[in-house]
Amino acid sequence: MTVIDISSLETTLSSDQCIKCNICTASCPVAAVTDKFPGPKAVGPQMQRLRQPSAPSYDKSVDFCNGCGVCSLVCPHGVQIAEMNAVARAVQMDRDGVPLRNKMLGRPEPLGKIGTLTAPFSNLPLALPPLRWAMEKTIGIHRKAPFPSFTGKRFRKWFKSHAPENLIGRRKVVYFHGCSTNYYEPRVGKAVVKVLEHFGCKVSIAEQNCCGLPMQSNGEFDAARELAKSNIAKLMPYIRENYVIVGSSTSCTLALKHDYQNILGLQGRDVEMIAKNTFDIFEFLDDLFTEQTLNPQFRRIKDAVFYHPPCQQRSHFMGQPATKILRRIPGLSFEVSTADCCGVAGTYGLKAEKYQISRDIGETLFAQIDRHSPSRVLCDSETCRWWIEGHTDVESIHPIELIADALPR
Amino acid sequence: MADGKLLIVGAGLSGLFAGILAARADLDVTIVARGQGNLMLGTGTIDVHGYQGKARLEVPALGALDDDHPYHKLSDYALREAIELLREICRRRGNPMIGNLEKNLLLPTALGTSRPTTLAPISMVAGSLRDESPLWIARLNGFRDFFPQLMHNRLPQNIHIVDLALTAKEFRRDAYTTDLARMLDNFHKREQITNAWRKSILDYRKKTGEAVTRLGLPAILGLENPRVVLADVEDALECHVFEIPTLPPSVPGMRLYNLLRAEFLTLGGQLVLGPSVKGKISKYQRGSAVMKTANKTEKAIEADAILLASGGFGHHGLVANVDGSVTESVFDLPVDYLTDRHAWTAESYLDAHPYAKFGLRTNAQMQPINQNNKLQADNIWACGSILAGADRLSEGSREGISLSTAFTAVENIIQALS
Repeated sequence: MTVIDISSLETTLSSDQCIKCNICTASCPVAAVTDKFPGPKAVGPQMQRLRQPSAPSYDKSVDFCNGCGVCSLVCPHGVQIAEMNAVARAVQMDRDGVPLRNKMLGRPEPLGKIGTLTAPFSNLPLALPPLRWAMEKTIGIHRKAPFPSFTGKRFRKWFKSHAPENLIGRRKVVYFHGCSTNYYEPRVGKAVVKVLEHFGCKVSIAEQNCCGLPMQSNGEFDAARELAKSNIAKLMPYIRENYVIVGSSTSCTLALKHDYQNILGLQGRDVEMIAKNTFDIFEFLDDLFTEQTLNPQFRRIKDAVFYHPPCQQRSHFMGQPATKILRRIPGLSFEVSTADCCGVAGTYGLKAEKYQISRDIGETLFAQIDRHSPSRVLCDSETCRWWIEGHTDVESIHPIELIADALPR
Repeated sequence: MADGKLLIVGAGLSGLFAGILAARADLDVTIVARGQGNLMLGTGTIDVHGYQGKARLEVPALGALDDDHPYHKLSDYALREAIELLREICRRRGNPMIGNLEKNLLLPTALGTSRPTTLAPISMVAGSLRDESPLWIARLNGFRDFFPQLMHNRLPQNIHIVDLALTAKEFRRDAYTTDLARMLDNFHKREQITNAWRKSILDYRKKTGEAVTRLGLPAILGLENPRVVLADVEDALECHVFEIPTLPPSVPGMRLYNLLRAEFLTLGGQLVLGPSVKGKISKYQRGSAVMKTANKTEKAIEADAILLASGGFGHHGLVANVDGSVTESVFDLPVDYLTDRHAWTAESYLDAHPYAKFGLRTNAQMQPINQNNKLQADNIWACGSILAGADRLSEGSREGISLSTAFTAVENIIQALS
């Protein structure tokens, strides 16, 4: 596998397509709430001209981009603005060094391992105001930023003891559960396995590590590449045996599908094979129902929920397949969010200097949730769920949990 | 009720509206659009037919349009039904539209002209120029995209300018309409801003002895909840308040986009923003399409029917090539255009230009045909600004065409798939 020089990526070169229409700036959730970020157009294609290797740019405002990616989606001219900004941030971190705080936030896996072993005690420090205050002052993690709780029993452990419903399934799936499912929300993984097995899939979980996105968005491209390569090596044997990779975290799956090649610059047959064979759980189910002309029946669930498709989900270019499947549940009514971003954007909103920005971005979504007063908020990304719960007091679950609940008994 | 998959290319007014109608009829609808559609660049009003030559029309005069105009392909109820359906969605989603097909509204533009339109958001109607009473227009200090002096100098009405302070802290970059709209969406900031404006209005009255009866503002009265913002501003200023559409980004256009998108998504419709769609037509006259997905592979988009709502020249639906040819960007369908490159434009920039009428020729079912009226594919339809025969700018007819042709196309798609 080779790594190409990120400054020559198609991504960074697309700046020449910009006609300065400002559609991106009008849609940018960060520029909407703070003037510390001049907006995607200014920081992206405009600044890109000054970022040639011979003329390093010292504009630090790119660090205020939260990476939601909406700018690249709304651009009518194909400028890859968000990707361009991610690369520019990495170049800057490379030069200026990565803060300790970013290194911590970029490593959910070692934290998860220790935390899970020592739960429930490991949950205490995060609930203690003086300690949170000290954390903010020393390393810059905001004292009010909501964190999830360690569960004590890892998803992988549960999976190993679980008796599969379906050993001879026609479709072979290797489930990429990601760190959050393993350490914080095994319930999401259990729901995924239950649904996949119900619809006739043989489910395996490969050895896997963090997808690398937290490191990538905290500016550590080299370290993120190592994680990416390790995942590719662990997943390739499954691909060769005609498994497909299915994930329930839209950010992890986007890393596998898109970021490894287009942001981290990995090249070669393996990374392409991984990208082509990775699917979001709802994308996979929707394709499965179509292919096998399945018309799944669900139990009646009398409930009114609110669905927020997270920003990374939109960058999959797959629509909102969750809504197609939710619509099949009798009795369920749902409203879909039009907020482009909940604010937290992975680890962005946890940082002391960015917490308020993320909180302000979230207002649009929180107001919509308030207006519809749903029983629960559905969202496909873990960090968004924790952020939404932390600021609205409405329970937030992965939509697959509702599907699992609606399976006929 | 029909059963089947519909792919719509384009997320402008016609694409989203068609998507909603088709999803309501239980079709499985996917919209794929290369970036956001035209609504953010428009005014947020629905123009059906506003001008005949240079004359402003009090009532749409569709009969006076050329025979090959898209309006003439429609059933007698398509336009009326489409307008009513849109009106119902807008009202239910908190952005009521005022007006009807019997008489055009006449509203002021930021450039100081009067503009006929059929439907306008409730936040614009107090600016009606049919009402001959004087207008006060706000000059917002620090906002660079709106110059009331233009209106004062050019409109025949009695127009006064009132200076209002933007209470927001100094912006370190240019403030856009969207910035101001978002501040007004926020309850606390709204209170601060309206208090400051109230003070300016009172000062103005003290100084001039004039009571402001209706006040025009650039269109910034909230993105999320315009009715509440309008009511609060009117309460605080004790006068009627109206919005005047501005340069893009257009806040009223974004409201329309947001509410149509929410309606579409809530019906289970799929919206994919970003990729461009490539299609081909088989020798059996069936169209099929692929798009590039996040992993850079081409994915076939399953579709029993395909609706092109991909727009005109400004939105890549039509492409003018350097060799002087005009092509349709998805299927390379035959386009009606003038081969003489010099005949495309008129003498003066502000005249009606012949190129504006270039586009796809369709039959009454909204299916593309060639110059010999031969159907190009059994499962392709088209609507909106890609259609030939209309000069939307000179006629003031863009949104009326988009809505009514989307309505007709979906009606025929449903029939074809039933």
